[in-house]
Amino acid sequence: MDKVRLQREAAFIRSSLLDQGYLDEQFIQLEELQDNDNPNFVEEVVTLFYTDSARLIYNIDQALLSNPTDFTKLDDYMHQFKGSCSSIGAKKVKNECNGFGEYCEAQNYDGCFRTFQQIKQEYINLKKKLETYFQLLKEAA
Amino acid sequence: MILIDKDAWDKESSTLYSIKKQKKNGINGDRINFPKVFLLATHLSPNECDELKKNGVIDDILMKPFWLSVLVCSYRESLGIEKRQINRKKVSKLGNLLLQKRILVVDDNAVNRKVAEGVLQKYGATVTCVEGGRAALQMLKPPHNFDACFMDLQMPEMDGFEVTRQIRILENDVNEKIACGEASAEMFGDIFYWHIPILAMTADVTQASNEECKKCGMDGYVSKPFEEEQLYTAMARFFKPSSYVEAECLRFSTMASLAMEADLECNYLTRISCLGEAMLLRLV
Repeated sequence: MDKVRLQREAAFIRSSLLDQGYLDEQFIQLEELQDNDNPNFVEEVVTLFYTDSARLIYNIDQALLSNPTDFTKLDDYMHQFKGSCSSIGAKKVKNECNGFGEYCEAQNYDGCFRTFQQIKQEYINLKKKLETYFQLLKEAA
Repeated sequence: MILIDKDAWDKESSTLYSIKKQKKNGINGDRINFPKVFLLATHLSPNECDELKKNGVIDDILMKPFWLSVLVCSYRESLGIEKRQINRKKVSKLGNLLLQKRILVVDDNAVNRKVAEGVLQKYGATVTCVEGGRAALQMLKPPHNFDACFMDLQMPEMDGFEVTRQIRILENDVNEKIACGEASAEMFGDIFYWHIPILAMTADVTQASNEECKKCGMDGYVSKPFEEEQLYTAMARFFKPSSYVEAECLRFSTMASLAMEADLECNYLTRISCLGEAMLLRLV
């Protein structure tokens, strides 16, 4: 197991995520909070994000299935979700959420539905990349 | 920095003309280091704002009431400093400020709580997190040991505004009892006056929530997620200042009293708060 190679791979994933706008400066802020007292802080926060937002995504999916559509509820859930994205620096996902908010305000169901599928796609995309990243970090340690 | 109230502006035209002249020529020809001039007004239309800025005296217009963080932001902008600067020096200053302070974080979002806790702990604070208003009220009913509270605004059961209102009611109740002798300060940890600094945490900084924050008794706001400089500016008002800030305060008070003693012609202007800029004296 070539640890140096694994470290380099992890570093590469990290830079691409930052350069390509998947993650922003807030993620770096989280990394800066990691120290000997808190050695796994970033991974803990990211794991919490995925656990917590799974619930929100479920709620939004359910709300999109209800008739009539409760746009206020949708907006509230999305506000929560967006806040979480912001907190971990999930820039791309967060930006997709802005579109959703606008459609909510306009009470445009189709817009909301379509945008949400995109949001879920970005969300899963990021999740896979971060899982790989943390796995590499573990193996490289 | 020079702060001029709009009412004074309308009355002191000759003095302001001399400011304009000085600004054009600069102090010893140095235009860049001329003090920044801010106009304070309560309501102005965008057109009025543009007109006022056109005459070349004012650097910016601030709406009253405003928070220190707004003043700092405008001042930095007028100096041409970029908004986002990760300043390593500031980080260590902030480190002293929050050391061993007991802070309550109120947010219904688990991720936000964890991140806020992480940031504040890094600066040495002891952090307690609660999920909502009810728990916050239990924690902040006097007497308690908290030094400050960060309050999320948008929460499902009780929003941040309502929680703050209720905290202030609890505090006023105790303060009145102590003031009229119905209760002794000893019963409340030897504190005669209860007012915990409450800062709103908001991802959505708009003027509307700004006004409502003040109305319900909040002391300021910070953005979510935290920004170091903003956090420092917001917290520095409440906690024991670092020696740097103490030095600046001393400079200011010395200057202000000198200005008053000199009994200069434009008395009003010289008495206005000015953060460590000796140029005001040179100007008049």
